[in-house]
Amino acid sequence: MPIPVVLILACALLWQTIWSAMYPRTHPGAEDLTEPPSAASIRVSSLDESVAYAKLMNLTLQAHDNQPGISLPFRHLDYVRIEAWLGRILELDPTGQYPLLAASRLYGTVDDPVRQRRMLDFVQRQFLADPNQRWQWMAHAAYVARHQLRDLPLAARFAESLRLHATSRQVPAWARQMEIFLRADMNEFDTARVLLGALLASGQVTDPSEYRFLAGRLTELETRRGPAGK
Amino acid sequence: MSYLPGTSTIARFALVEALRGKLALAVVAVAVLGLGVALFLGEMAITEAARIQGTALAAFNRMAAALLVVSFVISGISREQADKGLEMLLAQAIPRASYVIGKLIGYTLLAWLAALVFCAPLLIFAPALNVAAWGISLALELTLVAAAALACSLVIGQSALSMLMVAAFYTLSRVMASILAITSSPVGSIGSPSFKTMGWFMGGLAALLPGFDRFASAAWLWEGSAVWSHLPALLIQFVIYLPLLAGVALFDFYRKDL
Repeated sequence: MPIPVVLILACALLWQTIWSAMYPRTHPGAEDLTEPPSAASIRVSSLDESVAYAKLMNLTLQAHDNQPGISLPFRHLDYVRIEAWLGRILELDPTGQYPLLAASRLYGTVDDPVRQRRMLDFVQRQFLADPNQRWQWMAHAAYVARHQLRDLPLAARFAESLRLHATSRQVPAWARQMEIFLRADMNEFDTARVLLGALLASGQVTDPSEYRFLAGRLTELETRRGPAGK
Repeated sequence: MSYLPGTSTIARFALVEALRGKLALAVVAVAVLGLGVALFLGEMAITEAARIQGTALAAFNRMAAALLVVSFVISGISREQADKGLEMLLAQAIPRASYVIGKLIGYTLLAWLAALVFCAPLLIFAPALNVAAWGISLALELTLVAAAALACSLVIGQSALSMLMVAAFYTLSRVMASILAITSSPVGSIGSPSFKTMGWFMGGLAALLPGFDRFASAAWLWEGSAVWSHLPALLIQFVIYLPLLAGVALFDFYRKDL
Protein backbone atom coordinates (compact mmCIF):
# COMPACT_ATOMS: atom_id res chain seq x y z
CA MET A 1 0.00 0.00 0.00
CA PRO A 2 1.64 3.29 -1.09
CA ILE A 3 2.00 5.74 1.80
CA PRO A 4 0.60 8.71 -0.20
CA VAL A 5 -2.70 6.80 -0.66
CA VAL A 6 -3.04 6.22 3.07
CA LEU A 7 -2.12 9.85 3.74
CA ILE A 8 -4.68 11.17 1.23
CA LEU A 9 -7.43 9.06 2.74
CA ALA A 10 -6.56 9.94 6.34
CA CYS A 11 -6.18 13.68 5.67
CA ALA A 12 -9.39 13.88 3.60
CA LEU A 13 -11.33 12.04 6.30
CA LEU A 14 -9.94 14.36 8.96
CA TRP A 15 -10.74 17.48 6.90
CA GLN A 16 -14.27 16.26 6.17
CA THR A 17 -14.92 15.74 9.89
CA ILE A 18 -13.50 19.15 10.76
CA TRP A 19 -15.48 20.81 7.94
CA SER A 20 -18.73 19.17 9.10
CA ALA A 21 -18.11 20.42 12.63
CA MET A 22 -17.26 23.94 11.43
CA TYR A 23 -20.14 24.18 8.99
CA PRO A 24 -23.03 22.23 10.53
CA ARG A 25 -26.12 21.41 8.50
CA THR A 26 -28.33 24.12 9.92
CA HIS A 27 -30.48 26.73 8.32
CA PRO A 28 -29.85 30.11 9.98
CA GLY A 29 -32.95 31.89 11.24
CA ALA A 30 -36.52 30.75 11.48
CA GLU A 31 -38.06 29.32 8.36
CA ASP A 32 -41.70 29.95 7.67
CA LEU A 33 -43.96 26.98 7.51
CA THR A 34 -44.99 26.58 3.90
CA GLU A 35 -48.38 25.46 2.66
CA PRO A 36 -48.68 21.67 2.78
CA PRO A 37 -48.37 19.89 -0.56
CA SER A 38 -51.62 18.88 -2.19
CA ALA A 39 -52.94 15.37 -1.59
CA ALA A 40 -52.57 14.55 -5.28
CA SER A 41 -48.93 15.61 -5.46
CA ILE A 42 -48.19 13.69 -2.27
CA ARG A 43 -49.71 10.53 -3.74
CA VAL A 44 -47.54 10.88 -6.82
CA SER A 45 -44.31 11.78 -5.03
CA SER A 46 -44.77 9.03 -2.43
CA LEU A 47 -45.55 6.43 -5.13
CA ASP A 48 -49.00 6.06 -3.57
CA GLU A 49 -47.60 5.48 -0.08
CA SER A 50 -49.62 8.39 1.21
CA VAL A 51 -50.09 6.99 4.73
CA ALA A 52 -46.33 6.66 5.15
CA TYR A 53 -45.90 10.17 3.79
CA ALA A 54 -48.53 11.44 6.24
CA LYS A 55 -46.58 9.94 9.14
CA LEU A 56 -43.46 11.77 7.98
CA MET A 57 -45.48 14.98 7.64
CA ASN A 58 -46.41 14.64 11.32
CA LEU A 59 -42.74 14.63 12.26
CA THR A 60 -41.88 17.43 9.86
CA LEU A 61 -44.59 19.66 11.26
CA GLN A 62 -43.66 18.78 14.81
CA ALA A 63 -40.02 19.62 14.13
CA HIS A 64 -40.92 23.00 12.65
CA ASP A 65 -41.22 24.80 15.98
CA ASN A 66 -37.78 23.60 16.99
CA GLN A 67 -35.57 24.48 14.08
CA PRO A 68 -31.84 24.03 14.49
CA GLY A 69 -30.49 26.68 16.82
CA ILE A 70 -33.86 28.20 17.72
CA SER A 71 -37.02 27.16 19.47
CA LEU A 72 -40.13 29.01 18.40
CA PRO A 73 -42.92 29.64 20.92
CA PHE A 74 -46.28 28.33 19.70
CA ARG A 75 -47.69 31.85 19.60
CA HIS A 76 -45.18 32.77 16.88
CA LEU A 77 -46.33 29.95 14.62
CA ASP A 78 -48.73 30.44 11.74
CA TYR A 79 -51.79 28.56 12.98
CA VAL A 80 -53.61 28.84 9.66
CA ARG A 81 -50.85 26.81 8.04
CA ILE A 82 -50.57 24.45 10.97
CA GLU A 83 -54.28 23.74 10.61
CA ALA A 84 -53.80 23.18 6.88
CA TRP A 85 -51.00 20.69 7.57
CA LEU A 86 -52.99 18.84 10.20
CA GLY A 87 -55.99 18.68 7.88
CA ARG A 88 -53.87 17.36 5.01
CA ILE A 89 -52.32 14.69 7.23
CA LEU A 90 -55.76 13.51 8.32
CA GLU A 91 -56.94 13.53 4.73
CA LEU A 92 -54.10 11.20 3.78
CA ASP A 93 -54.29 9.05 6.89
CA PRO A 94 -57.85 9.23 8.29
CA THR A 95 -57.23 6.59 10.96
CA GLY A 96 -54.22 8.43 12.39
CA GLN A 97 -54.74 10.06 15.76
CA TYR A 98 -51.50 12.04 15.74
CA PRO A 99 -52.83 15.28 14.15
CA LEU A 100 -55.73 15.44 16.59
CA LEU A 101 -53.44 14.87 19.53
CA ALA A 102 -51.14 17.60 18.21
CA ALA A 103 -54.08 19.98 17.71
CA SER A 104 -55.67 19.44 21.11
CA ARG A 105 -52.74 18.74 23.40
CA LEU A 106 -49.80 20.46 21.68
CA TYR A 107 -50.86 23.45 19.60
CA GLY A 108 -54.06 23.81 21.63
CA THR A 109 -52.04 24.66 24.75
CA VAL A 110 -50.86 27.96 23.30
CA ASP A 111 -51.33 31.01 25.49
CA ASP A 112 -53.49 32.81 22.95
CA PRO A 113 -57.29 32.35 22.97
CA VAL A 114 -57.67 33.04 19.24
CA ARG A 115 -55.17 30.35 18.27
CA GLN A 116 -56.53 28.02 20.92
CA ARG A 117 -60.07 28.37 19.57
CA ARG A 118 -58.85 27.73 16.05
CA MET A 119 -57.37 24.42 17.16
CA LEU A 120 -60.51 23.49 19.10
CA ASP A 121 -62.69 24.27 16.10
CA PHE A 122 -60.41 22.12 13.99
CA VAL A 123 -60.77 19.25 16.44
CA GLN A 124 -64.54 19.58 16.39
CA ARG A 125 -64.74 19.56 12.60
CA GLN A 126 -62.51 16.52 12.36
CA PHE A 127 -64.41 14.80 15.20
CA LEU A 128 -67.62 15.07 13.19
CA ALA A 129 -65.96 13.22 10.31
CA ASP A 130 -65.42 10.11 12.45
CA PRO A 131 -66.98 10.62 15.92
CA ASN A 132 -66.54 7.12 17.29
CA GLN A 133 -62.82 7.01 16.58
CA ARG A 134 -62.03 10.59 17.53
CA TRP A 135 -64.25 11.16 20.59
CA GLN A 136 -61.35 11.46 23.04
CA TRP A 137 -60.03 14.58 21.33
CA MET A 138 -63.47 16.16 21.43
CA ALA A 139 -63.65 15.38 25.15
CA HIS A 140 -60.28 17.03 25.65
CA ALA A 141 -61.45 20.03 23.63
CA ALA A 142 -64.43 20.37 25.98
CA TYR A 143 -62.03 20.25 28.94
CA VAL A 144 -59.80 22.96 27.40
CA ALA A 145 -62.84 25.14 26.66
CA ARG A 146 -64.12 24.71 30.21
CA HIS A 147 -60.93 25.07 32.24
CA GLN A 148 -58.48 27.02 30.08
CA LEU A 149 -60.68 29.25 27.95
CA ARG A 150 -63.36 29.38 30.68
CA ASP A 151 -65.94 29.38 27.92
CA LEU A 152 -68.77 27.26 29.33
CA PRO A 153 -71.11 27.59 26.32
CA LEU A 154 -68.34 26.41 24.00
CA ALA A 155 -67.51 23.51 26.31
CA ALA A 156 -71.22 22.58 26.46
CA ARG A 157 -71.45 22.74 22.67
CA PHE A 158 -68.51 20.35 22.36
CA ALA A 159 -69.99 18.04 24.99
CA GLU A 160 -73.35 18.12 23.20
CA SER A 161 -71.61 17.16 20.02
CA LEU A 162 -70.03 14.24 21.85
CA ARG A 163 -73.39 13.07 23.20
CA LEU A 164 -75.12 13.32 19.83
CA HIS A 165 -72.46 11.83 17.58
CA ALA A 166 -70.23 9.50 19.60
CA THR A 167 -72.76 6.70 19.84
CA SER A 168 -70.53 3.63 19.73
CA ARG A 169 -70.45 1.34 22.77
CA GLN A 170 -66.68 1.86 22.81
CA VAL A 171 -67.22 5.45 23.89
CA PRO A 172 -67.26 5.56 27.71
CA ALA A 173 -70.31 6.82 29.53
CA TRP A 174 -68.48 9.73 31.17
CA ALA A 175 -67.86 11.27 27.77
CA ARG A 176 -71.54 11.22 26.86
CA GLN A 177 -72.50 12.50 30.33
CA MET A 178 -70.12 15.44 30.24
CA GLU A 179 -72.75 17.78 28.86
CA ILE A 180 -75.05 17.23 31.81
CA PHE A 181 -72.50 18.52 34.31
CA LEU A 182 -71.51 21.40 32.11
CA ARG A 183 -75.16 22.47 31.76
CA ALA A 184 -75.49 22.27 35.51
CA ASP A 185 -72.38 24.45 35.90
CA MET A 186 -74.05 26.95 33.58
CA ASN A 187 -77.12 26.93 35.82
CA GLU A 188 -79.12 25.35 33.00
CA PHE A 189 -80.69 22.99 35.47
CA ASP A 190 -83.73 22.19 33.32
CA THR A 191 -81.58 21.07 30.39
CA ALA A 192 -79.26 19.12 32.66
CA ARG A 193 -82.20 17.47 34.41
CA VAL A 194 -83.87 16.46 31.14
CA LEU A 195 -80.62 15.07 29.73
CA LEU A 196 -79.86 13.13 32.88
CA GLY A 197 -83.40 11.80 33.16
CA ALA A 198 -83.30 10.69 29.52
CA LEU A 199 -79.96 9.00 30.06
CA LEU A 200 -81.22 7.05 33.07
CA ALA A 201 -84.41 6.11 31.26
CA SER A 202 -82.58 4.93 28.17
CA GLY A 203 -81.04 1.97 29.96
CA GLN A 204 -77.55 2.85 28.76
CA VAL A 205 -76.30 3.07 32.35
CA THR A 206 -75.93 -0.54 33.47
CA ASP A 207 -73.48 -0.21 36.34
CA PRO A 208 -75.45 0.00 39.62
CA SER A 209 -72.98 2.34 41.31
CA GLU A 210 -72.97 4.67 38.35
CA TYR A 211 -76.78 4.55 38.21
CA ARG A 212 -77.00 5.47 41.92
CA PHE A 213 -74.54 8.33 41.49
CA LEU A 214 -76.40 9.77 38.52
CA ALA A 215 -79.78 9.35 40.18
CA GLY A 216 -78.38 11.26 43.16
CA ARG A 217 -77.27 14.03 40.82
CA LEU A 218 -80.75 14.09 39.27
CA THR A 219 -82.32 14.51 42.71
CA GLU A 220 -79.87 17.29 43.45
CA LEU A 221 -80.82 19.04 40.20
CA GLU A 222 -84.50 18.68 41.03
CA THR A 223 -83.82 20.32 44.39
CA ARG A 224 -81.82 23.16 42.87
CA ARG A 225 -84.49 23.72 40.26
CA GLY A 226 -86.98 24.46 43.01
CA PRO A 227 -90.74 24.57 42.75
CA ALA A 228 -90.81 27.41 40.18
CA GLY A 229 -88.08 26.07 38.00
CA LYS A 230 -85.21 28.03 36.67
CA MET B 1 1.12 13.30 -15.38
CA SER B 2 4.78 12.21 -15.41
CA TYR B 3 4.36 10.58 -12.00
CA LEU B 4 1.29 8.65 -13.13
CA PRO B 5 1.86 7.41 -16.67
CA GLY B 6 -1.20 6.46 -18.66
CA THR B 7 -3.55 8.64 -16.65
CA SER B 8 -4.46 10.96 -19.49
CA THR B 9 -5.04 8.05 -21.88
CA ILE B 10 -7.37 6.32 -19.42
CA ALA B 11 -9.21 9.61 -18.85
CA ARG B 12 -9.59 10.19 -22.56
CA PHE B 13 -10.94 6.71 -23.16
CA ALA B 14 -13.42 7.03 -20.30
CA LEU B 15 -14.78 10.20 -21.90
CA VAL B 16 -14.74 8.81 -25.43
CA GLU B 17 -16.60 5.71 -24.25
CA ALA B 18 -19.33 7.93 -22.86
CA LEU B 19 -19.60 10.14 -25.90
CA ARG B 20 -19.58 7.29 -28.41
CA GLY B 21 -21.93 5.15 -26.38
CA LYS B 22 -25.53 5.77 -25.57
CA LEU B 23 -24.90 8.09 -22.63
CA ALA B 24 -24.61 11.24 -24.73
CA LEU B 25 -27.85 10.34 -26.47
CA ALA B 26 -29.55 9.58 -23.15
CA VAL B 27 -28.44 12.90 -21.63
CA VAL B 28 -29.81 14.87 -24.57
CA ALA B 29 -33.03 12.83 -24.67
CA VAL B 30 -33.69 13.29 -20.94
CA ALA B 31 -32.90 17.02 -21.16
CA VAL B 32 -35.39 17.38 -24.02
CA LEU B 33 -37.96 15.34 -22.12
CA GLY B 34 -37.53 17.57 -19.06
CA LEU B 35 -37.94 20.67 -21.19
CA GLY B 36 -41.12 19.24 -22.69
CA VAL B 37 -42.57 18.54 -19.26
CA ALA B 38 -41.62 22.06 -18.11
CA LEU B 39 -43.33 23.63 -21.11
CA PHE B 40 -46.40 21.54 -20.41
CA LEU B 41 -46.42 22.74 -16.79
CA GLY B 42 -46.24 26.32 -18.05
CA GLU B 43 -49.45 25.78 -20.00
CA MET B 44 -51.23 24.80 -16.80
CA ALA B 45 -49.90 27.63 -14.61
CA ILE B 46 -52.14 30.62 -14.06
CA THR B 47 -49.29 32.84 -12.85
CA GLU B 48 -45.51 32.67 -12.30
CA ALA B 49 -45.28 30.29 -15.23
CA ALA B 50 -41.54 30.84 -15.78
CA ARG B 51 -40.79 30.23 -12.12
CA ILE B 52 -42.83 27.06 -12.03
CA GLN B 53 -41.22 25.79 -15.21
CA GLY B 54 -37.68 26.73 -14.17
CA THR B 55 -37.99 25.31 -10.67
CA ALA B 56 -39.53 22.04 -11.80
CA LEU B 57 -37.01 21.64 -14.59
CA ALA B 58 -34.03 22.37 -12.32
CA ALA B 59 -35.19 19.80 -9.76
CA PHE B 60 -35.86 17.23 -12.49
CA ASN B 61 -32.55 17.84 -14.29
CA ARG B 62 -30.54 17.59 -11.10
CA MET B 63 -31.97 14.19 -10.23
CA ALA B 64 -31.86 12.91 -13.80
CA ALA B 65 -28.25 14.02 -14.28
CA ALA B 66 -27.15 12.26 -11.09
CA LEU B 67 -28.93 9.05 -12.09
CA LEU B 68 -27.46 9.04 -15.59
CA VAL B 69 -23.91 9.72 -14.44
CA VAL B 70 -24.11 7.06 -11.71
CA SER B 71 -25.56 4.43 -14.01
CA PHE B 72 -22.94 5.13 -16.67
CA VAL B 73 -20.00 4.97 -14.25
CA ILE B 74 -21.16 1.80 -12.55
CA SER B 75 -22.07 -0.01 -15.76
CA GLY B 76 -18.76 1.03 -17.35
CA ILE B 77 -16.61 -0.24 -14.49
CA SER B 78 -18.68 -3.45 -14.17
CA ARG B 79 -18.34 -4.15 -17.87
CA GLU B 80 -14.59 -3.60 -17.67
CA GLN B 81 -14.33 -5.99 -14.74
CA ALA B 82 -16.47 -8.62 -16.46
CA ASP B 83 -14.51 -8.39 -19.75
CA LYS B 84 -11.21 -8.75 -17.87
CA GLY B 85 -10.23 -5.39 -19.38
CA LEU B 86 -9.15 -4.20 -15.95
CA GLU B 87 -6.70 -7.08 -15.51
CA MET B 88 -5.31 -6.46 -18.98
CA LEU B 89 -4.82 -2.79 -18.19
CA LEU B 90 -3.12 -3.50 -14.89
CA ALA B 91 -0.80 -5.95 -16.62
CA GLN B 92 0.73 -2.92 -18.38
CA ALA B 93 3.52 -0.96 -16.73
CA ILE B 94 1.23 1.62 -15.15
CA PRO B 95 0.56 2.12 -11.44
CA ARG B 96 -2.89 1.36 -10.09
CA ALA B 97 -3.29 5.00 -9.12
CA SER B 98 -3.15 5.91 -12.81
CA TYR B 99 -6.24 3.83 -13.44
CA VAL B 100 -8.24 5.40 -10.58
CA ILE B 101 -7.10 8.97 -11.20
CA GLY B 102 -7.51 8.58 -14.97
CA LYS B 103 -11.05 7.27 -14.60
CA LEU B 104 -11.81 10.05 -12.13
CA ILE B 105 -10.60 12.73 -14.54
CA GLY B 106 -12.59 11.20 -17.40
CA TYR B 107 -15.76 10.99 -15.34
CA THR B 108 -15.22 14.53 -14.04
CA LEU B 109 -15.17 15.83 -17.60
CA LEU B 110 -18.23 13.76 -18.35
CA ALA B 111 -20.03 15.19 -15.30
CA TRP B 112 -19.24 18.73 -16.39
CA LEU B 113 -20.51 18.08 -19.90
CA ALA B 114 -23.72 16.62 -18.49
CA ALA B 115 -24.09 19.67 -16.21
CA LEU B 116 -23.68 21.91 -19.24
CA VAL B 117 -26.35 20.06 -21.24
CA PHE B 118 -28.79 20.05 -18.32
CA CYS B 119 -28.16 23.75 -17.64
CA ALA B 120 -28.86 24.97 -21.15
CA PRO B 121 -32.68 24.60 -21.15
CA LEU B 122 -32.91 26.57 -17.91
CA LEU B 123 -31.73 29.68 -19.72
CA ILE B 124 -35.20 29.90 -21.27
CA PHE B 125 -36.76 30.48 -17.87
CA ALA B 126 -34.18 32.02 -15.51
CA PRO B 127 -31.46 34.74 -15.56
CA ALA B 128 -28.17 33.55 -17.08
CA LEU B 129 -26.03 34.39 -14.04
CA ASN B 130 -28.25 32.38 -11.75
CA VAL B 131 -28.26 29.48 -14.17
CA ALA B 132 -24.46 29.68 -14.32
CA ALA B 133 -24.12 29.50 -10.54
CA TRP B 134 -26.61 26.63 -10.41
CA GLY B 135 -24.72 24.86 -13.20
CA ILE B 136 -21.35 25.17 -11.44
CA SER B 137 -22.89 23.72 -8.33
CA LEU B 138 -24.47 20.90 -10.36
CA ALA B 139 -21.10 20.14 -11.99
CA LEU B 140 -19.45 19.88 -8.56
CA GLU B 141 -22.25 17.66 -7.27
CA LEU B 142 -22.14 15.38 -10.32
CA THR B 143 -18.36 15.07 -10.01
CA LEU B 144 -18.70 13.92 -6.41
CA VAL B 145 -21.50 11.54 -7.38
CA ALA B 146 -19.36 10.10 -10.19
CA ALA B 147 -16.44 9.68 -7.79
CA ALA B 148 -18.73 7.94 -5.29
CA ALA B 149 -19.97 5.62 -8.05
CA LEU B 150 -16.39 4.85 -9.09
CA ALA B 151 -15.36 4.11 -5.49
CA CYS B 152 -18.42 1.92 -4.88
CA SER B 153 -17.93 -0.03 -8.13
CA LEU B 154 -14.29 -0.72 -7.34
CA VAL B 155 -14.91 -1.60 -3.69
CA ILE B 156 -18.12 -3.64 -4.08
CA GLY B 157 -17.68 -5.05 -7.57
CA GLN B 158 -21.39 -5.82 -8.16
CA SER B 159 -23.32 -3.34 -10.24
CA ALA B 160 -26.73 -3.74 -8.54
CA LEU B 161 -25.30 -3.42 -5.05
CA SER B 162 -23.09 -0.51 -6.10
CA MET B 163 -26.11 1.28 -7.55
CA LEU B 164 -28.02 0.76 -4.32
CA MET B 165 -25.13 2.07 -2.24
CA VAL B 166 -24.67 5.18 -4.35
CA ALA B 167 -28.43 5.83 -4.33
CA ALA B 168 -28.43 5.61 -0.53
CA PHE B 169 -25.36 7.85 -0.32
CA TYR B 170 -26.90 10.46 -2.62
CA THR B 171 -30.35 10.43 -1.02
CA LEU B 172 -29.01 10.62 2.52
CA SER B 173 -26.60 13.41 1.60
CA ARG B 174 -29.49 15.43 0.21
CA VAL B 175 -31.97 14.91 3.05
CA MET B 176 -29.60 14.74 6.02
CA ALA B 177 -30.35 18.32 7.18
CA SER B 178 -34.07 17.51 7.37
CA ILE B 179 -33.41 14.24 9.17
CA LEU B 180 -31.24 16.02 11.72
CA ALA B 181 -33.96 18.67 12.20
CA ILE B 182 -36.50 15.95 12.93
CA THR B 183 -34.21 14.06 15.31
CA SER B 184 -33.54 17.26 17.25
CA SER B 185 -37.26 17.85 17.88
CA PRO B 186 -38.00 18.32 21.58
CA VAL B 187 -41.40 16.62 21.46
CA GLY B 188 -41.42 12.95 22.30
CA SER B 189 -39.15 10.75 24.33
CA ILE B 190 -35.84 12.42 23.56
CA GLY B 191 -34.25 10.90 26.64
CA SER B 192 -34.84 7.34 25.50
CA PRO B 193 -31.74 5.29 24.63
CA SER B 194 -33.03 4.51 21.14
CA PHE B 195 -33.56 8.20 20.37
CA LYS B 196 -30.11 9.12 21.68
CA THR B 197 -28.44 6.28 19.80
CA MET B 198 -30.20 7.23 16.58
CA GLY B 199 -29.27 10.87 17.14
CA TRP B 200 -25.59 9.98 17.55
CA PHE B 201 -25.68 7.67 14.57
CA MET B 202 -27.27 10.31 12.36
CA GLY B 203 -24.84 12.97 13.65
CA GLY B 204 -21.90 10.71 12.82
CA LEU B 205 -23.29 9.89 9.41
CA ALA B 206 -23.90 13.59 8.69
CA ALA B 207 -20.27 14.34 9.53
CA LEU B 208 -19.09 11.81 6.95
CA LEU B 209 -21.50 12.65 4.12
CA PRO B 210 -21.14 15.64 1.78
CA GLY B 211 -23.69 18.42 2.26
CA PHE B 212 -25.64 17.92 -0.98
CA ASP B 213 -28.58 19.69 0.66
CA ARG B 214 -26.63 22.93 0.04
CA PHE B 215 -25.86 22.16 -3.62
CA ALA B 216 -27.81 23.26 -6.73
CA SER B 217 -31.09 24.22 -5.13
CA ALA B 218 -33.79 25.15 -7.66
CA ALA B 219 -34.57 28.20 -5.52
CA TRP B 220 -31.20 29.70 -6.51
CA LEU B 221 -32.56 30.51 -9.96
CA TRP B 222 -34.58 33.36 -8.47
CA GLU B 223 -32.16 34.63 -5.81
CA GLY B 224 -30.49 37.37 -7.88
CA SER B 225 -26.79 38.01 -7.33
CA ALA B 226 -26.96 36.49 -3.81
CA VAL B 227 -26.73 33.09 -5.45
CA TRP B 228 -22.93 33.41 -5.79
CA SER B 229 -22.51 33.56 -2.03
CA HIS B 230 -23.35 29.85 -1.87
CA LEU B 231 -20.47 28.75 -4.03
CA PRO B 232 -17.36 29.23 -1.81
CA ALA B 233 -18.63 26.79 0.81
CA LEU B 234 -19.52 24.29 -1.91
CA LEU B 235 -16.04 24.58 -3.41
CA ILE B 236 -14.46 23.86 -0.04
CA GLN B 237 -16.72 20.85 0.41
CA PHE B 238 -15.80 19.66 -3.08
CA VAL B 239 -12.06 20.09 -2.50
CA ILE B 240 -12.30 18.10 0.73
CA TYR B 241 -14.62 15.36 -0.44
CA LEU B 242 -13.18 14.47 -3.84
CA PRO B 243 -9.81 13.35 -2.36
CA LEU B 244 -11.74 11.42 0.28
CA LEU B 245 -13.64 9.42 -2.34
CA ALA B 246 -10.51 9.00 -4.44
CA GLY B 247 -8.68 7.88 -1.31
CA VAL B 248 -11.31 5.23 -0.58
CA ALA B 249 -11.11 3.93 -4.15
CA LEU B 250 -7.29 3.92 -4.15
CA PHE B 251 -7.03 2.30 -0.72
CA ASP B 252 -9.28 -0.58 -1.72
CA PHE B 253 -7.76 -0.91 -5.17
CA TYR B 254 -4.24 -1.27 -3.79
CA ARG B 255 -5.46 -3.67 -1.11
CA LYS B 256 -7.06 -6.03 -3.64
CA ASP B 257 -5.15 -8.94 -5.09
CA LEU B 258 -5.81 -8.52 -8.80
